[in-house]
Amino acid sequence: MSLFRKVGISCYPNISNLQVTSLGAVNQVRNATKKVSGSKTNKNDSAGRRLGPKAHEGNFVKPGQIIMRQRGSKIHPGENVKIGIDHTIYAVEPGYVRFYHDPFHPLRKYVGVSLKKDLNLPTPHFSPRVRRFGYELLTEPSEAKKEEDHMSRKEYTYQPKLEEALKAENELKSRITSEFEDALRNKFKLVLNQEDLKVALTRFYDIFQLVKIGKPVEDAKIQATYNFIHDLKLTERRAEISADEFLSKKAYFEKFFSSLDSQVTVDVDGSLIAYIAEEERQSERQRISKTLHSTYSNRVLSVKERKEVESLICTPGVFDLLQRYQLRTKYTPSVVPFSVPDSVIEITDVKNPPEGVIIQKIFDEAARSTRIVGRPREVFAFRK
Amino acid sequence: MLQAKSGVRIATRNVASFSKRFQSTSSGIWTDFSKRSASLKLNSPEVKQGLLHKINPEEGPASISDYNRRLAYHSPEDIDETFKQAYELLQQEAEVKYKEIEGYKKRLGEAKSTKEVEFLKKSIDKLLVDAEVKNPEVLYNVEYTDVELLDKSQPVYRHLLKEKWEAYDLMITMQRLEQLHMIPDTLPTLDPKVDVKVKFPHNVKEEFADWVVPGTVLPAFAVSQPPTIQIQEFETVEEKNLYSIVLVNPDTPDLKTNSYSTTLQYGLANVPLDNVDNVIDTSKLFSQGEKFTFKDYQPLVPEKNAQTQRACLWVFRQSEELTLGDIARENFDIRDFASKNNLTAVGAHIWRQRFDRSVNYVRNKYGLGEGRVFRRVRGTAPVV
Amino acid sequence: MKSVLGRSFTRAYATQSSTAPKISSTLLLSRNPVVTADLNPFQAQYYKYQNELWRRLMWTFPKWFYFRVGTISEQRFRQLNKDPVSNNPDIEFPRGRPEIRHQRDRRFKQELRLPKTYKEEVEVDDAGEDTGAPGAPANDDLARKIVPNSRITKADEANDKTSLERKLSRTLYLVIRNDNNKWALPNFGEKTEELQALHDLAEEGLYKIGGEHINYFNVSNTPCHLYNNEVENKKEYFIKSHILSGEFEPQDKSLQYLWLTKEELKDHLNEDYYKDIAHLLNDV
Repeated sequence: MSLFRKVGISCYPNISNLQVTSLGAVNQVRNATKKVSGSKTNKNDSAGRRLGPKAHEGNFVKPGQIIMRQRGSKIHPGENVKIGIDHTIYAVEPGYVRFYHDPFHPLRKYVGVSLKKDLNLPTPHFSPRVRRFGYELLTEPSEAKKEEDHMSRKEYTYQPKLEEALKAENELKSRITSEFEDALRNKFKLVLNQEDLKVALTRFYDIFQLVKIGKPVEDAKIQATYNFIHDLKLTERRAEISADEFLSKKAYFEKFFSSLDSQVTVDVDGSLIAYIAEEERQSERQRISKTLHSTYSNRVLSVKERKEVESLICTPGVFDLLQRYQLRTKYTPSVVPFSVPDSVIEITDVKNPPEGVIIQKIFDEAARSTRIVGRPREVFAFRK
Repeated sequence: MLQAKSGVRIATRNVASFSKRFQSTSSGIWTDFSKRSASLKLNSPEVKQGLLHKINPEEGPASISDYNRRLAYHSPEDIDETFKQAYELLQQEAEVKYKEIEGYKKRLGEAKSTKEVEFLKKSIDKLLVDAEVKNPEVLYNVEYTDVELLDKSQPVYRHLLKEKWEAYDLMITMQRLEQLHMIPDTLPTLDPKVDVKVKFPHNVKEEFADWVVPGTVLPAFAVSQPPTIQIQEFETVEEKNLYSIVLVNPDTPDLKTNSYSTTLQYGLANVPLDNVDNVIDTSKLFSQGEKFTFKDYQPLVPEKNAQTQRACLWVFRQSEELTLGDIARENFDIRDFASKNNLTAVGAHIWRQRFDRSVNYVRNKYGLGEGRVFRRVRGTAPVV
Repeated sequence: MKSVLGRSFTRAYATQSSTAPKISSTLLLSRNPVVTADLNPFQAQYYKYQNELWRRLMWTFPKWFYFRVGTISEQRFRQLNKDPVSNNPDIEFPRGRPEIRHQRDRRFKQELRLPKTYKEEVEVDDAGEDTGAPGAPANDDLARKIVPNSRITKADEANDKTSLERKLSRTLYLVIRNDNNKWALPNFGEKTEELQALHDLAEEGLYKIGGEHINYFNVSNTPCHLYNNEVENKKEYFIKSHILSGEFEPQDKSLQYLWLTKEELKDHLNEDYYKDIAHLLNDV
């Protein structure tokens, strides 16, 4: 409204000389005293915008209440206060208005809301902030439950996927634990009571999950033991068992675990294998590495040989995940490198290559020319 | 590591190699391990060959993991000869430094005042760093091999790790501490001296099994067991220092005052650590946890609509052994605790938690009962 | 002719001498290096390596600007510079696929061969027959090939230590010796009849022993060093000068002279004397 009025006024410089006729037209009347030059009246101004502070020092304000109306930030926003698009400062917390200077910006004036009447602003730099919690407690149980169970649309639409994932996880767990159970019963011929068996299976599953993400087996075992003892301690904390019971159970299960570990260990693949001591494991590693190096290195391997290499690498309990990956890339790469002598075959007749040989044009950097060579099929691990 | 871990990385081909066709460098201080630790050398002979002599064109530089990129690498011209001459020069300089160290060690044997002893030890440390900081094998180990396997008793490794820490991890930590207002809501400020790393080892999901980036929002199940804390001191620690670790939650709702209070979630004291033995992991908690836990671990379990709560972990260096009585969890004053026990804050870490679907499970596990539920939108009641 | 003995040039002696020491002027005459200093092996190797890096990272030569398409010079250029191996998608490149931009493989240094703009000696073919191409250009022909002079001169090869042409990259110092004496820098004692400035002493002495065909530059009238010769009870004030051109021609037949570098001076001069003046001598 004010804008229009302003524009309207500036169109007509000399209001006093205007005459409105009966038809509504506006005429400028020239009187006897004719002015020769234009003149400034200096009367162009607008009505006051009612700027300035709306809440003064020490006033109690509620959140949203405007504290200062201004053009530009004459006064800057301080604590518990925000600034709007037209530099209006408004409170965000209920409290008392305080105008102050901030030592970090000595030339500025700040306004903030102090949450308590006796607290002065600015808060000392190294003091903890005074904050308002503000959230009301839902006392009614049904209301509380409804609020707690409430899901955002994102969470709600994701529920089917979560259920699927949980189902898959449970299926994997049951499959693995049943395999473990079979192995314990048939392979290792261990006879355990129901409770001990359950504990052992959970333990082995824990170890398996940890080993799968790359943890060394020994660390996984310690972690699984700790998990169990920690859970036991929590049952004591929850007063489900007494302190003595806890200690006795702890001792019993520690012994049980050490006896289990001396017989059984978990492999990276997820199978139970006989326990191997560290020195033996090391020597096995060296032996297999030696075999691999002597028999399978620097050669093109047939499908059968690749399987042999794979079985050697996956010998239960010898190599961990990272080592297996390294060995696989070394001995069974997806494409055998050109440096391997058997992988490159000279061919005389391009049109009729020998059977099982794929023609490839390679660029010989030394000779600076293209060579047509044959590569045995076995060079490529994944063929179309 | 806080830096992004892009899957499995074969930085060094550590699989045992039996080839003895490698060139040996002319004898100098960097090839002599009679007086120097064997951890200062490169373990893999192929990598050493490529680094100090000529890169095998069929293999390429060991620091590139992708096979095709590795083969496509062409070294700059004259680099081998230049590197060799530079290596000789730097090795000679290192020899001079080692001679100086001998002199200082003699003086150390005859030194009387503690001030002189301190000065000599500092000088020896500095010289040890200067003598090895340009050794290519040392630099390769720090850059391309697993940092956790480095020998932290060597001053040069600690020096280089400190540089790495200051270049990224320290900045991230300080940024998170400041922006999440852990400083000054808990302690007034922090002058970081140690690298604090936290992880939760019971996790079987890869997402939560690695070192926690400060400021991450973690779900309750991921923090349901005590964390593994690694405290890396960069200065020489002769006899073990004693450390106190305290985990506080400054965002516990206090409905009486309509503000927040601080809760003590976890407290450890009199933990002896040094440069090498620098981690409080599951095995340590298992064997010695009773001794140094003065407050059992209770994970943060934020209630519905209680907003994001910060888990602030503080690491203090103790001046003497502490005997702590029974300390209440609620309304824990950390500043008082630190000043009363003459503790210096040397490092900190932070992660955040909010209400999620696993919170109730963790609450039940720890016997904390039902959580309260708050209204979704804040009220206007002021601070009491 | 004021004596240049200032207040600051007296020294306390352990033993007082009975007679006052004689004052003399020693001439430290040096020939400055003629060519830049030799690089030590590592420097040379390092600069070579940096040069190679610079060449590797250089922008592709804008052949289209300097050798316009269709001209004869462009034809000559193309004859000398064959295109690099281009990228054929059907071929396997075990050591990396070429990346060609403006007929240059971006992965490597660009090796350019430009057509000659100078004349060389008579062109001979493999059999040793003269191909009939133009003969050797005259010495002042602008089109001749620019060949820099060798840094190692005839004097270097002959190891003629009296020559000023030896060791062009080093500073040479004049030392003289009479029959029974030892090698020393030329020293001229003050005359009893008249007081003379030290630098004038040195100049006169130089012309007297070395002839007039020396074009030299005196750095300063102020001596740069004082050597107390206790054996001869002499104070030797060192005057630093450079020989710019000309020759040192010994006027006396019994006078031997040499132009030596710093290390060679160490072998020729008295040990204590050398230690005292070593800081005056240039390492380059």
